[in-house]
Amino acid sequence: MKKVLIVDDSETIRLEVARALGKAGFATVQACDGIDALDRIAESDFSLVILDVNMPRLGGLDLLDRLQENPKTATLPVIMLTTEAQRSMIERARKGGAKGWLIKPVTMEHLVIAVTKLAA
Amino acid sequence: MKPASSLIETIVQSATVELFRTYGVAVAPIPRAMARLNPNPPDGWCGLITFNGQGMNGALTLFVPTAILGLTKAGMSQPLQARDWIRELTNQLMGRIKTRLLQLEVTLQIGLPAALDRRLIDRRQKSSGSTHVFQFRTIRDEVTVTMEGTLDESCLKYSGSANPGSEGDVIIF
Repeated sequence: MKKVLIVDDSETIRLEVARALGKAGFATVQACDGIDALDRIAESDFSLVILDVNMPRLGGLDLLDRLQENPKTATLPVIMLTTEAQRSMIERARKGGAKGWLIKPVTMEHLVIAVTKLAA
Repeated sequence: MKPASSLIETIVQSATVELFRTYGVAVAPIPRAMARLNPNPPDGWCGLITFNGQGMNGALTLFVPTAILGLTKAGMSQPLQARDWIRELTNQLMGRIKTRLLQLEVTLQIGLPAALDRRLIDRRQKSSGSTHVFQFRTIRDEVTVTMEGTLDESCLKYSGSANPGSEGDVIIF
């Protein structure tokens, strides 16, 4: 079963995404910020990471940079899920290796389609 | 309370109406002339988020009565984490406002949202002369958005060049 890491400082968002992905047949793990996410990634293999941008301790774009710098995680598919719509941020994520950028609020149906398409 | 400029008022009102519509709740802006801070607000939740950009810096608050907050997540199978959800709603509201301001050549840096006691917000705003209040009628009670700080409308220039994304967009690279 493919496993997805959901990284968002909102528990409500994490639970909603986890529920939708669970129904679609994915296993999920949750992390509340970028540091928590790095700990989870060190513990386990994931098929894809869903990543918020604005989070405490370590934000999503900075985490994306760290994942890219590490050969073990450089090819891990990442989708950003955020309220940010600024083109420069979207471009930064694209250049940083992200596979997609979803602007909140997205329907869970669209999220599941994107995850299904992009998960390794 | 300061009367809001018409452009900022339009941005905040449209962002708030659309946000709540997304979550199945109809809210209608109360005309400025009729808006008054409720001296006895109902039980509810308050989120706060800071913003900083050219000519605009301060804090936005979103107050949502408990019953209305519950309606925004009416279909949830698990109990609503109200404190968490008001933070996220405040974050999403600020995101919408930020996106609209991008089209007017203003780029805001936004902070992390916080959930605060309504009384702290009220005390803060009563002592401040620079708070813009936007009220919205719902089927019961009112939703209140405030923006405190500097809102310099002279910085707003429509260019159409920013081309930001839109809420709900799914961009696959």
